[in-house]
Amino acid sequence: MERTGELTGGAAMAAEQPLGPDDIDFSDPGFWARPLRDREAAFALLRRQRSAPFYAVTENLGAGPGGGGYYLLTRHADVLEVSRRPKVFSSASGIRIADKPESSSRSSTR
Amino acid sequence: MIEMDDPRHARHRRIVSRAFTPRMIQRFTDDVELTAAGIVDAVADRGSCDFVAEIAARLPLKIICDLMGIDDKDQGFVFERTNRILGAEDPEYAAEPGASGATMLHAANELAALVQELARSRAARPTDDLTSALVNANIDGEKLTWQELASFFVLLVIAGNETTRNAISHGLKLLTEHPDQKALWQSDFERYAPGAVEEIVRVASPVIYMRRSLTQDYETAAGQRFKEHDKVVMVYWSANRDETVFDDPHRFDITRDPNPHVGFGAAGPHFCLGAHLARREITVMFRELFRKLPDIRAAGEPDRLQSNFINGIKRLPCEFTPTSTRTTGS
Ligand code: HEM
Repeated sequence: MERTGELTGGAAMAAEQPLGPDDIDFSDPGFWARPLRDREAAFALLRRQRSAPFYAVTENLGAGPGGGGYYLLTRHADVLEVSRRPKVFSSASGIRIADKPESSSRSSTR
Repeated sequence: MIEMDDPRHARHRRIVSRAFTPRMIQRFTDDVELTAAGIVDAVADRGSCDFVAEIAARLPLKIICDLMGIDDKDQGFVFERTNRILGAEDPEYAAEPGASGATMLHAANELAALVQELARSRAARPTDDLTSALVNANIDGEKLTWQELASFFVLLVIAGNETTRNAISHGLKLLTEHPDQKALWQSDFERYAPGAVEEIVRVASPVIYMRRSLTQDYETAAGQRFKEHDKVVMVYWSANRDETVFDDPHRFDITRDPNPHVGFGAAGPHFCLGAHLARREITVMFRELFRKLPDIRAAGEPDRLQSNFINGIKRLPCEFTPTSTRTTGS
């Protein structure tokens, strides 16, 4: 199982040195460049955590009124719950991590 | 529309879904088949090509452009602009490093200008396309303003174009990696097609996530407390691999049943408007490929888009026995 050479950074995913939740940065493009197996293992790990991890935004992600970060929901049940409650979970400030460009200057609820 | 809440969202969705009817889609279905056949024919005697540019990318783009009434000659323009909007984090598409926001906005404005021009002409002389239906008042007197139409079009080419293309590209990759699943599908195409398409969308999860923000404090069923203004990111890619829902989630299994994946989003007001069309396009593409190029396979590693939003494939070499050597004569 010599896969560690493909990884960027020091957080190798070999069995003896598993990637911890804090080593997974969802907004780092380098994370998505990793091999499929590593991404699968990383999300499997996140799904087992008790609560959704919080990530601070990097400068190009644009912090909205919620401050500089976001929670990552990785479980199926959480996705169903959030999608079913649009009054609580709004799309109006954008659906990418960064707020949509015009949302700071214009009211988005008509 | 995708970035709106009710009641504004509901109004848009109502107008659009009245135009985007199964009948409208059905009318374009014959086109889907013709278009797919033309795409495959164009490469059939070559034996190899870039699967993304010459096969997967062509169908969804042409279908959306046809639906909207965009001229064939403008489709290259549309293709290039949507790449820039969706791939803005990928250095290949960003105009300059770090300028991804500006790149996106500029490309979106160019698309908006194209469609506003089209809207102007359809308002004066309606045809049977979606643009005409959207800018001319429907039975309840509702219509979209040109501005709204422009942002809807940008949404449509973005939401319906790359997503479907990537599903098709991931599909070929998955079928190549799992020859048993490919053989099974080919053994009875129509029987396995619905399950195969859902499984491709599950495993590919072409849209990796959608984000929401909290309008109030809220405690989830799992017991996590969020505060007003918090942002949450729903990772469809991960939900589609949740081992508490999917047995052996990393296996590609075209007979998976049930398959409650959330690749098109979960049930709610924003559930993918184009899911039916996308399923249809993926089905038709593979039917046509299997019919004419049954041994088509990925012939190398995909060149993946650098993005945490779109699970994209930029290039994927493919190989197949050219039809000219398989058929005798003609
Ligand atoms: C395999 C292909 C596709 C995938 C994976 C996909 C995925 C998605 C997802 C995840 C959403 C958001 C759902 C939510 O927020 O709850 C969405 C919304 C949407 N999709 Fe798709 N989509 C695909 C194809 C298409 C096509 C072909 C079209 C149109 C021609 C389309 C049009 C839309 C529109 C208009 C929305 C916004 C709906 C709203 O906000 O009410 N999509 N799609």
